[in-house]
Amino acid sequence: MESYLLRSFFTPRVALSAKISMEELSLEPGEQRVANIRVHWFVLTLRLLPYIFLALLPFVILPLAHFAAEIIPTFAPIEARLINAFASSLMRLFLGAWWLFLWIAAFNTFTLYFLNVWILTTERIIEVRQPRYFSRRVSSFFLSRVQDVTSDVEGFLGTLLDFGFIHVETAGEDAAFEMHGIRHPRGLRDMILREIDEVHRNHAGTGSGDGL
Amino acid sequence: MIRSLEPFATASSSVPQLHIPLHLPISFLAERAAPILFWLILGVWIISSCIAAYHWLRYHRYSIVILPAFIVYGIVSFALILYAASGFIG
Repeated sequence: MESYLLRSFFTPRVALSAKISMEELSLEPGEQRVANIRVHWFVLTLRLLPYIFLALLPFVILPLAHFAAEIIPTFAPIEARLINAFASSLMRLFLGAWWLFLWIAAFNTFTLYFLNVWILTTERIIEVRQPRYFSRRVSSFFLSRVQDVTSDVEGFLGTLLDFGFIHVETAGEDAAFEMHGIRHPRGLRDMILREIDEVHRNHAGTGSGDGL
Repeated sequence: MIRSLEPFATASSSVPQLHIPLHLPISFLAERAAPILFWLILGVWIISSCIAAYHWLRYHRYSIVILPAFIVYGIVSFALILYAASGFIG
């Protein structure tokens, strides 16, 4: 039951997302996607907050100028100029441009949130990392090579919203993979460990050494 | 004696005055610079949207998020572009 709940939470669209991984990552025969893991929505919200504050900035300028003019009388002409400027039609162009740039930046942040993903399959973990456009790194490591999986939930908000950090250590040169700000790190760790257990059990049954 | 001491010298008419405009007239901005700025912004928006669309279609074409995301992006962008354009049209 718990496994079903976790899987259903992490994989809302198994068939559709499997197409993505099949196209770009060419899964092995018999390999199935188990979960797509992304950063928690709260972390996305935190990344979008600066744009929201900057978008609200024009609404703060006039009240601030008014407040400053009340305290410092010499500021009154500047306030009058600001009021005139905001009343002009040209200001609409600048404000529209300002908000459009912020909107573009916020949409790019949202896009990059979707492009960065961990895909857990029955055989391996595939890490798709894209810090910016046209800079994409796809790496994968087999579950049979995983030595240690550590999850960490820190802080009040992390505990409340259940997001944190997961660290997967593997044998070999590519020693560790980690992802910060993911949702349900403990559930994910349990899921990875369960898949590892499954891999070892299957390979023990078929007599294969490491499943590669 | 004291009266003859002037704290500041007044500007003499014999000294040539430079009349440099310290700010660009609004009419100049509205007529010349505003359309250029608007097309520049529109160009940036088109390029940025094409790059984002390329990444969505290349890597997430089957995602159910793509359509609502682009519809919202398009509507909000269109509204903001119209708002910006209203600054110098009409």
